[in-house]
Amino acid sequence: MKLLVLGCETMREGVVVTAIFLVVGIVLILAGVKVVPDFAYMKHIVLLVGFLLMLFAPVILVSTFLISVLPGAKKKMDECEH
Amino acid sequence: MNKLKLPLFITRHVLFALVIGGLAGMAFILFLIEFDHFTSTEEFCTTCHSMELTADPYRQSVHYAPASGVRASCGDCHVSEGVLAATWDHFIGGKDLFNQIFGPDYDDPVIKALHLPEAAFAARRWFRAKDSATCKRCHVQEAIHGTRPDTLLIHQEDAKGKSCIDCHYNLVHRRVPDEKTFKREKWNRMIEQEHDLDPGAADVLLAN
Repeated sequence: MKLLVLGCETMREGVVVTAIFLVVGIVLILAGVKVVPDFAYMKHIVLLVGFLLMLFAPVILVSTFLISVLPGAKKKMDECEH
Repeated sequence: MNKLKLPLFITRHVLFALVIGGLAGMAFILFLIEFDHFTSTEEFCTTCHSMELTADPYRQSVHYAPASGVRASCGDCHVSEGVLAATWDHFIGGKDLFNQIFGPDYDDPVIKALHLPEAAFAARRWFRAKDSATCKRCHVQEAIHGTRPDTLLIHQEDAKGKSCIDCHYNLVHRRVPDEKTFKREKWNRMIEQEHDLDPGAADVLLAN
């Protein structure tokens, strides 16, 4: 439940993690398609991990946003310094 | 002349976030489309040796080399249309990679043949659940006239309430009987004969 307590830091972390997931996901997919050799399912594993990271990026962002609009959290967020 | 004023809540930070977020969203969708496209190709699907065994009969089928030259690739039949549905199919399909790595040795033609019926039944259930949507990407029921006199009538009258897969299966991959009439015992004996195995060997291989 502590994870759901959203502060200014958590919101920023959510955005940063989303950005990292998206960039790493894209890099892994590109690597899986172009660079990684087709050996011991490495290509498939790299592609799957990249795909999952890329899928989770918007999920994290949307979840953080949804938590931030909860009545209690919204009041806290209004006090954040941008 | 009145100057166009932005609402007060659109600050420099909000504008920055909107631009970056928009670009990231575009990159996300573009990569998703490219990923779905790449992983739907025959070239990608057959990177696993076990899939080569599945693809061999496909390469002899009319879906691979029709007179019209219109070739249906793996994704055309087995991946839903639309980026979200296709992404979901690939997400669910991730379990096949898990099974390929940690499951039975599907690269072995005998193991592959023994497990084939379950795979075929699952694929047919998927087609049925989607009302054969991927068939209908190319085939229009109202436009099926065929060369036999009753083809049109069958597709207009008898096909009511049915999906393409209810009648049209075993068109592309190795023939597998209908799930209702399938007999595991007979199938195992057939695979044993085909691969010169001792009687009962198929049951042992299947149990492992």
